[in-house]
Amino acid sequence: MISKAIVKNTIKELLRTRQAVPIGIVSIGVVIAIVFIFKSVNYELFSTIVFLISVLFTVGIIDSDLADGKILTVLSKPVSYTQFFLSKVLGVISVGSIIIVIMMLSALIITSSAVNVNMDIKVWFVLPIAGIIAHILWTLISATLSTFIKGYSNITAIILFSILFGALTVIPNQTVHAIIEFINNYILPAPEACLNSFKESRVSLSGKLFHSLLYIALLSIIGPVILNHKELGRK
Amino acid sequence: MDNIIKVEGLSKSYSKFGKKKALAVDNVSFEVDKGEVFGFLGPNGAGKTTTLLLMLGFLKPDTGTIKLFGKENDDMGIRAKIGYVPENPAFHKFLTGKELLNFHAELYGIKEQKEKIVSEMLKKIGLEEAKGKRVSTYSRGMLQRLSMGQALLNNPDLLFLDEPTLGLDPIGIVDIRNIILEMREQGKTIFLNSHQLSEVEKVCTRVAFMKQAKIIETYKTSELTESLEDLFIKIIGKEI
Repeated sequence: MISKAIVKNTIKELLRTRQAVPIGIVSIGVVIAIVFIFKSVNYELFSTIVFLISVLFTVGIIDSDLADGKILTVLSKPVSYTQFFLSKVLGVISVGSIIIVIMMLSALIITSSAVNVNMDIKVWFVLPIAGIIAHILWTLISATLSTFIKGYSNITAIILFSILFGALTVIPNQTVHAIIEFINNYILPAPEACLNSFKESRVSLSGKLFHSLLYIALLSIIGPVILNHKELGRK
Repeated sequence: MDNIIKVEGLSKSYSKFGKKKALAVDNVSFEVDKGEVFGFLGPNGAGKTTTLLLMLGFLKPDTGTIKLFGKENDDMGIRAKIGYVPENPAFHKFLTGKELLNFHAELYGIKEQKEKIVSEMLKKIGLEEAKGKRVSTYSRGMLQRLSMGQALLNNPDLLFLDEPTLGLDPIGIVDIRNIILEMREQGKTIFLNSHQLSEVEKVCTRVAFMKQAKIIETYKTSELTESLEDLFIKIIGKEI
């Protein structure tokens, strides 16, 4: 199901085209954000920031093969679109996860010394893991959207992100609760902690965003199944 | 004779915002036998590339059937037996020429003798000296040669060529012609989309003329009584 050649090639692409550079620049913003966040540890906002970083990181790499037709010579070989998709995603995730762990741990070290806060030992594990999970989910979202939206790019991703962010600010809490309850009851059970946070109405804007994206990502996993219907090489 | 390609009643239209535009391919049927070099000719926008992309399974037809080697064209097994040279070659620019061929060889599932096959292919397509250079530094002609190379790695039984001589210098054109003739001698089947009528005349065993999404005439090149260029003008006309 996974093409080793495509995974290897994707890793090579990420390293050689220096796509880690913009991630490094954005990570400076993350470090600064953490310094402020850590006064009231807000995992949700933190995860939202990781989403933004992952957007920049993953969209371009998944999209470029589709946009300029490189995919045509690949898919003329014994490789299905699903195989291409999953292998590409795996390549991005493997490099991205390493970068995120390094970034998160560096940020924690800097933060802990900068604000002189005694952090729970759990934080050292939870944050990098949360980062990786967020990265994986966003990679799947990006890859799925790149497949269905012609010309999908970083700009499109940021616009979609802004629309989603904007929409969440005007949706009343009760509506969000109703949607989550509906998904929980009829589509996909949510983790209890997630439901409780909604019920207690302690949900921050970024928290809503994180949970909404989590659900979209989980549902987007079905994407590869229907990807074979995509038309390629169209002028 | 065995049909390697069998296309029946193929139609394809593109739609935009739900509105269907004109048909790109209109009820096209043809067969290509084993060992034939089939030239697909026509003016720009006639539907030649769309037909080729439909055959490769990159586009879904509105109606009609496509069989390659007697099987549906979405059968993964037949992909190991075909090669494809696109009209506009686009490759991963961060790779060197040799790395790119290695990557495509791995996609074909070539493991044993990969180094030898890639090395011989680099010589065959005239990129031996440039094998260590990044693809981003390649000229249009070099990319075209590389495109030919990735399509031939598996020694395909069926080769799809879309304007393979575009951007090539005269030596490159002769090299591609020789590769096609060599494959023809080996009994391979080739489907060739091209505007280079003089080249088509030299390598093809049969040609089809496509105009406004339909195939209007088919000829064996051995039976032609006039040059392909004259025939093209006569058939396609001036009201393209």
